[in-house]
Amino acid sequence: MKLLERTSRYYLAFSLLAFLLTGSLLFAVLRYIIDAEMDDQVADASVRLDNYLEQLETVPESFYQLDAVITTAPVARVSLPFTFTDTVFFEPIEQELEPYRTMTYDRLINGRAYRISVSRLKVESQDLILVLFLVSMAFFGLFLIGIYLLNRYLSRHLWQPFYGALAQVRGFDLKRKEPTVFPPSATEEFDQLNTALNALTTKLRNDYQALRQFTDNASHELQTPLAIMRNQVDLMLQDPARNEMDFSHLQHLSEALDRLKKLNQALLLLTRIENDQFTGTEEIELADLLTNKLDQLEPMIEARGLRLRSDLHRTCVRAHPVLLDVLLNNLLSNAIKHNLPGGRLEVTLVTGQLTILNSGLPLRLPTEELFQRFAKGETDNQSLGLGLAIVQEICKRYAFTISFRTAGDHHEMTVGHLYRST
Amino acid sequence: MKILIIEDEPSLAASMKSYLEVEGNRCELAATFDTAWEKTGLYDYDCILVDLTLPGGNGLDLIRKLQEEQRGAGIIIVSARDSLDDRIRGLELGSDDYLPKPFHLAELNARIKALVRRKQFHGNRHIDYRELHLQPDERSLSVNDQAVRLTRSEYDLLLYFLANQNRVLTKESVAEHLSGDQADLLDSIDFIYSHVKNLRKKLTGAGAEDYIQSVYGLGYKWGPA
Repeated sequence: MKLLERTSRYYLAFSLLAFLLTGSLLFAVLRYIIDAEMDDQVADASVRLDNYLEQLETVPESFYQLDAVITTAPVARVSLPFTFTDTVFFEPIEQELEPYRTMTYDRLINGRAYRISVSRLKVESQDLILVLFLVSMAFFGLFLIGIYLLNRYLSRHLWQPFYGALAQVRGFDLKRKEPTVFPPSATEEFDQLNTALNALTTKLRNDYQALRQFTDNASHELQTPLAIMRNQVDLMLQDPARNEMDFSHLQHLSEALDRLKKLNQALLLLTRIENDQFTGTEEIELADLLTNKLDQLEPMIEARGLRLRSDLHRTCVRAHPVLLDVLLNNLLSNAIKHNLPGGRLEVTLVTGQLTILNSGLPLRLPTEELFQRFAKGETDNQSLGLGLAIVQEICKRYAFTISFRTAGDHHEMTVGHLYRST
Repeated sequence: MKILIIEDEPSLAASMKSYLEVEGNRCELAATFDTAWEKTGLYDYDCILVDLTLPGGNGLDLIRKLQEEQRGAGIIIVSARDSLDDRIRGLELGSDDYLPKPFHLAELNARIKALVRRKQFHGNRHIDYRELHLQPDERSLSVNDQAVRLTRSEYDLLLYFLANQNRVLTKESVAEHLSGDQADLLDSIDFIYSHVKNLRKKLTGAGAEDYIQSVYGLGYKWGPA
């Protein structure tokens, strides 16, 4: 629910209550004033009534005069002062009981005491309530329409900076070069929000840049000590006096250094892709490149005794040659590495989609974790767990889609959207 | 062979020198841009190894100068800055090869030998080792004057062994030599094993001695048994 709707609800509830209260109050006040006015009128009329009655030869028992029903009855002596009462009379025309205001008093007329009662039709409460209700509702309706129009105006104009900022935050991308700018607003709250957002995004961007720079620098700086260690191991190996124990130690050292080197290279590659260091694209014929790759990998395919089947159709892709090479390399070598001895390896390139199917043990980690960095499906400690993370990064860069399916003992990796217009 | 090692990291320079001198090469070291500039102006070298990030200057500038002054020398860039741009610029400026750090000394040795062989215009571009005779340009091999056909990988492997005779070569170094960047992601040990097995079979099958010795689980060594 929008904030405006929420506040409007409260406003509406409050105004409904206010209308009801003022309506009832108005009703009571009107009722009182009208009654009081009527009593005054009747009291004033009584003077003229007395004069009128004195001029008559006989005092009539009941008659209609001054818009009132007047009855007289002889009494022993004058005892009752002006007394007001509410009564009802049956109205023969409308066939219903109607409320009347009655004033009763005693008076000496021509020497004789009479009790005179003057009854006047009251304004009906129901009518009064109805009129008040209708008027209130009309006001309330106008109020609602007003609120609605006002809200529309407010959300269009006053809240505009807020929606603008929201759209900016939604579209925020850490990797984008140009900074996100939240323009200042005339509204203090939004201005504060935009200032805070500006500070936040700038800090995020700077931290991210620093982190990327750090990874890049760290990877580079690691190369030299790695080279020193590697070369020292190479030299130590050449000493003819080494015994088997030494060689075993050196072997472990050499293997560990090799892994460290590969890890560093993979991290460096990832950072470079993220840092946009592979700019520029070329039109590359993917089928040729794949044939080439498969040729290069043939020794490894043979060594594992894999059954290779490929169906490659001409497909042109625009990408950086190095990245496309890495992409194919990682996908193919993954399919070879995680294959079963004598398993299947099927490479299909058709209608802008590359599918690589391979036999393999059931996956040990959830499919969605497959592309995460350092995700390892097997306890095979030779694997870096960065190959597919690199693949994903490259696909993201060129808006290729990448998906993985697994069924039984075979896995299928599909790269789609290989056509690109630009 | 006279080799100049331009490298500011002393232990790296020392290990390169130590490995290369075993083969009878004469190595000189230059740790700064200025020393390198001076030395290359004074002496002639067969091969110059250049680090790109040097105290006092950029290695690329040095290569531009070497291209003019040391026409006969082979130039190999040895750099931790393994960026494509550097590689391309270095080759454009006239370097002959590019070896990213960290590298194996055996790989460096093999690259130097291949480069020097390419640079020698007057014959002597073949390799003889006892009963083996190789013409690397034609990728041909004969054993006792009988031609032997090798696959590309097997031939590369043989060249690598011959460049590093009597040296212990780790499997990692062999794998890296054979598959270059692809070794990064491959469990390469079993395919090396099969290549070595095939090469050994072809050589002994053609009447050569078995020169490939396994060194425990660690790697291989080429030399007479």
